[in-house]
Amino acid sequence: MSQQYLSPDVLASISGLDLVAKTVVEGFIAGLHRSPDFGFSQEFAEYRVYNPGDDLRHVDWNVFARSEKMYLKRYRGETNTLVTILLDQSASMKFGSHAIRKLDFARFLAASIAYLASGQRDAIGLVVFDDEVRNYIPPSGRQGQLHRIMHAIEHADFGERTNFAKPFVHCMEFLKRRGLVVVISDFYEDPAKIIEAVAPLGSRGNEVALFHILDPEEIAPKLGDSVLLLDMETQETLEVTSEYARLEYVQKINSHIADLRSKAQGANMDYCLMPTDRPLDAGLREYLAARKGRI
Amino acid sequence: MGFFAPWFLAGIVGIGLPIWLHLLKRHKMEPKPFASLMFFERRTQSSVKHRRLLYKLLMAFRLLMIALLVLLFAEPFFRRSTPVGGGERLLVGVVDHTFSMRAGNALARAKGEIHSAMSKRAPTEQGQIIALGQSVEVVNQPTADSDELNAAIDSISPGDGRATYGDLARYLRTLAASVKKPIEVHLASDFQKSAMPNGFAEMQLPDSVTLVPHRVSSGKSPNWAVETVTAPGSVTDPKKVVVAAMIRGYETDAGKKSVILSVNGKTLQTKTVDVPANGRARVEFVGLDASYGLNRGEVKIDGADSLDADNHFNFGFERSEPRKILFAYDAREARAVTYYKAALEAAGDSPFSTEAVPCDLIAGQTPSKYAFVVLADCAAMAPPFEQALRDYVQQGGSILITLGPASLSRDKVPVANLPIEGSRYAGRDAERFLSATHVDGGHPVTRTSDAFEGVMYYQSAKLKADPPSRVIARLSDGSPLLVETPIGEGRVLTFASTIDNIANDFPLHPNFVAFAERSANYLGRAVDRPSSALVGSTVELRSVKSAAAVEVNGPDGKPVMSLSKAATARTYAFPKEGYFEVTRAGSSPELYAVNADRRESDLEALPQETIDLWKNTGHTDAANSDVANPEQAEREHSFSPWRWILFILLLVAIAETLVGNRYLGEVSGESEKPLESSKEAA
Repeated sequence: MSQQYLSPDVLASISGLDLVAKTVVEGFIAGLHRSPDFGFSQEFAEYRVYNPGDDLRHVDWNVFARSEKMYLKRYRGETNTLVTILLDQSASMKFGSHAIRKLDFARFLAASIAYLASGQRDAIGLVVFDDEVRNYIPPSGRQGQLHRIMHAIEHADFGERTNFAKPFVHCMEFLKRRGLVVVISDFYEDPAKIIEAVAPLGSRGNEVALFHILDPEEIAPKLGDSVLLLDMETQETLEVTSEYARLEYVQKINSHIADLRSKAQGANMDYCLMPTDRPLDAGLREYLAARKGRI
Repeated sequence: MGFFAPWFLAGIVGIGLPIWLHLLKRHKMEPKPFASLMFFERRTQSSVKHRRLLYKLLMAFRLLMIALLVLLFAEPFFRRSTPVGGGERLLVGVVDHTFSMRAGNALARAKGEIHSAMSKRAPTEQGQIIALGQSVEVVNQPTADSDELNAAIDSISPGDGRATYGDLARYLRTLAASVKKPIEVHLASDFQKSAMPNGFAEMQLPDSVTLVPHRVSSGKSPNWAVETVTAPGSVTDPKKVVVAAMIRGYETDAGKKSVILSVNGKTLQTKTVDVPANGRARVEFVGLDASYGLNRGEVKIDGADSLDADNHFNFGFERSEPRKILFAYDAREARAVTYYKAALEAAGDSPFSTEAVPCDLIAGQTPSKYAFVVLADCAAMAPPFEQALRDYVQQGGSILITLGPASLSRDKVPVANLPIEGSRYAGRDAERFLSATHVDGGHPVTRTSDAFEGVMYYQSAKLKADPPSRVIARLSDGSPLLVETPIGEGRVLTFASTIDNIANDFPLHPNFVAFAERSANYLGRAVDRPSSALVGSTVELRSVKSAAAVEVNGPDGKPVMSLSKAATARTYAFPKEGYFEVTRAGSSPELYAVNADRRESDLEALPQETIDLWKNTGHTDAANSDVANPEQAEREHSFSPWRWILFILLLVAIAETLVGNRYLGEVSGESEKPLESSKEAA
């Protein structure tokens, strides 16, 4: 039975971000067929034979009592994971060539991740940024956190230009505990600079996932004749030809994506390209499957 | 360069409109919002460059159009300098030979003045002679030959015509338009005040014309004239004829004048009349004894004065026997005859006499012997006589039919064959009487619309008049009252009531006299020709279709037209005074006594100020120049290039349309492939 994914256009027609997230996540989980243990924090992993020098605190004394053999109980996480979502609300996220804009898609994605984490009782935090940190909700697992996160995501408005350096420096200050850092952006910046800005988060033991949101028109523009383009962030205009957009631009954006993917993987980060015409749950599933395999 | 309407130059601010449209509100390529231009580079297509070129060209055309439009309204002109004098000038000598120039030796002096002016002409200069009479007559084409010019001047003879200086100015305007060089006009004239046109503007001279007046008369000469003579053109009873003459004195003292009436050179009567100073007096001669046929009459005054030519006045008339009218009446009621005869006699010297015959005795008469026939309520007619009447009308005869009680027994009007649908006795109805309405004022019988005014009709026949019959008048109930029916060459008038003062009271009204006279003249084809005509007036010689020759003999008895002209000319204008005989094919000769326009008799001259004003309407500088020594002076003329501006404007408008179409075509072609952009504008 083939998996029926949710079209972004369908999501766009659903009012209420929490309902969107619920629709995505529950449908996504239902499709996993008894694999509810997929998530950001797993408690139990395996038993291992005790070797001298191992921490005795991890010995499963119950097993020792029954079998008189010492096994260590191994956990993949000591506590619930701390999930921090960094949502880019720069002006370029306003772009959209169909029913759903990039920021809308990013909102759905952020909400879905938050909903998924909340279901596993993970602490959730949110940083909304453009060239500054526009909104920050510290990670918390308390009741009502999901609602606050949803409200903040819903009210993320279009901002100015993207500047990864400045907001990520702030994030370094916020994120004292290790966890999962999810960066949702269109990443219109030199991949080297992006990785340079994001890498310090990973060096603190955080797991970093980059969700690259792009409109299909950005990946393969279909311009008519010669056209005057307006940069939504810088407000600069540029007259370009269809030939350039069809050939050279596509080559450059693909190169950019490949470079970013390569550098992200090199820095031990997850990278997931999320075109806005792609079903959100399919993208999310692909990411989680890849993460599970990596773990 | 100057402008006739410089205030229109303020419209040049309108040039800001295309600038505003093109520069401030110019069509911009609608920017398409895009997430980031990080991966784009600037590229411009050749078509875009081409469009920008078109855009600038379009703006240039629009600016040019407005500038030209403003220029057009401002009416620019250039002053062109043309040399005056030397071989470039045309010298025109105008000799006035109107009727008034017969006074004294005015014409000889005028010729002398023009001879003198022409003799002072430079040898290379061309001259032209014009005779100003009833019309402006070009005597010769421009020439430098002095002998030819002198001969042209000498060939001008005294005339009887009348001209106004407006006629001369009109000709000079035409001449100036065709001759592209300065014209100096020497006008030798008595400068009569009466020769002024109605409006001074008609005397406007073109810029290139210089008027040099030569006055040949003092303008203060006393003059007597026979101003008008009123006499009938046709006479049947000479004893009843009254000839009235008006004697006029111009600049004269009060005095007695002997007035002589003569016919065919024989003096009939002489009367003395007291004429007040500078006034007029009327003289009446009763009786005009003359032989049958055409007669040449004349009224003249004795004594000599400045202008003897107007001391007599010609008139012509034809004496003939009265033509008979056959009046058939109902023997039971003879009053119709009485009223009709009385009306004709009351009309004056009628060319008709009435012969009354009862209807039952009419069968023995021959209709063709009569001018026309009247059937007054004649019901009983022998069929042969009715047929004879029909034949008579077919050949050009005419009948007047009145319908009374006897006629109503018939179902049709005799000869005219108009159906009689019944009768109407208005006295028995509520309105008591009928009146005539819808009278055709254009018909000769009912020339005035009050022809039947005030007449009460108690009894009338109800006629049905279909084409070709023509209803001339209708009663108030809409039924025809007077109907004309053309039959062959003749005509029948049917009156739907009687003329016996029983069925109506028409015979008791004064209008009945006019009706009787006009209907008699119309049916009898009597022509009310005037006894005199003016020089320059025309006589119609033939209709369009007629090709029969017409002979016109002048005062000397000789034909005045060539054979070819006599065979084709439709009209003839009398060129001079005297008696003219016009003989048309199949008809007796007609006599026209022609006199000069008596406005020419007033010799009062224009004041010098008026002549100076006239001179000033043209070019004045050269008027004072020495004709014998023309210098190479510069004369300025205004030249307006509005035609050229209009032509250029037209070309620019076409170019603007073409460029605009191409530009808009390219812009709209681009907009057919829009880039899908964000839902919100940047």
